[in-house]
Amino acid sequence: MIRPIPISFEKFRIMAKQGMLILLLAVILAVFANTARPRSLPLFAPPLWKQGVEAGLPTVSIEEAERLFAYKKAVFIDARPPELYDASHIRGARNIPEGSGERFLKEALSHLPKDSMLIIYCDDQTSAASRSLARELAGKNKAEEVRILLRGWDLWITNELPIEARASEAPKGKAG
Amino acid sequence: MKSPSPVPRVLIIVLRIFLGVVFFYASIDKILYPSAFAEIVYNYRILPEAMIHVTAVVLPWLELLLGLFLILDLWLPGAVLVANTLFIVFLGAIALNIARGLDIDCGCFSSDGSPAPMYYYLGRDAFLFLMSLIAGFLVLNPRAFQQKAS
Repeated sequence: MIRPIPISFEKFRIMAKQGMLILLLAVILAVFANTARPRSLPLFAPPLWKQGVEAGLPTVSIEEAERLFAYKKAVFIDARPPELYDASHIRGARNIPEGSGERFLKEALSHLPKDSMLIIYCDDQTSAASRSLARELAGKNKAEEVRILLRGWDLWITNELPIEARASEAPKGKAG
Repeated sequence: MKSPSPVPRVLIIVLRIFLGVVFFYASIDKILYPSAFAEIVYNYRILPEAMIHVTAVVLPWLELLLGLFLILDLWLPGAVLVANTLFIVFLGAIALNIARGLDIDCGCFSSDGSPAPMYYYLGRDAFLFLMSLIAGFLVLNPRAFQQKAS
């Protein structure tokens, strides 16, 4: 039998006080540890990848990507999961989901036209999936150049560039 | 007077150690790779840019501390309150991104993307939140499940 017992306000006060102290302690510890570590994060700066810190990343601008698309000089690789690719993707893009494994990767690469540039895109704000796929492709793909279109899907949609969509589903970017 | 039933006492020990281990485990990878975690925080698209790094630096330490406090039974009421607050925030963040139709990396336990459906993250978080709610209830009201003295 559950018997409700009145809860005193005092208990809540203690709870709140201790909670705040834990938070304060965590902030102090975190700031201290962050300062002490070799590559500390600047606390209030915009994210690192926005500052162009990852300079080694082979990227392509949306204008360049559009040009390459128009002249059919590049193959677009969609690094998003198959469901999203199926719903809509850059016209002519192939789907190689990030982390799809060695065999799938080889199989997919064998179907690509030779000597074309590969442009990888996804819908992460930070292009994490594209970057991870680019790393997977690096070394496996000597003939072609691999580039990343940062924030590719978003940019492609915003610029209203050609896409292919499943008939039953309107592309997300144009719906809103 | 009947002596208090041992059930709530045992339950609270089990719950606090379980939740403590969960928080402790969740914090390690994020503390080791703060910039990877910052990326995940950024992908949630909730916080303004200036708050991303601060969150990515502080949150893992809060989880670590919370884990230790829960395991060691220090400031239990406060620790349970923070745990509940965190789970509400996490649930809200995941639910918001499901509503937006975004499929993002939850980053709950690791900053290295291990993709799973968003509903899995939501369910897992809801389960942990429930555990934490029960712990909170027991901390505030330790005699709740006691047999009524007849």
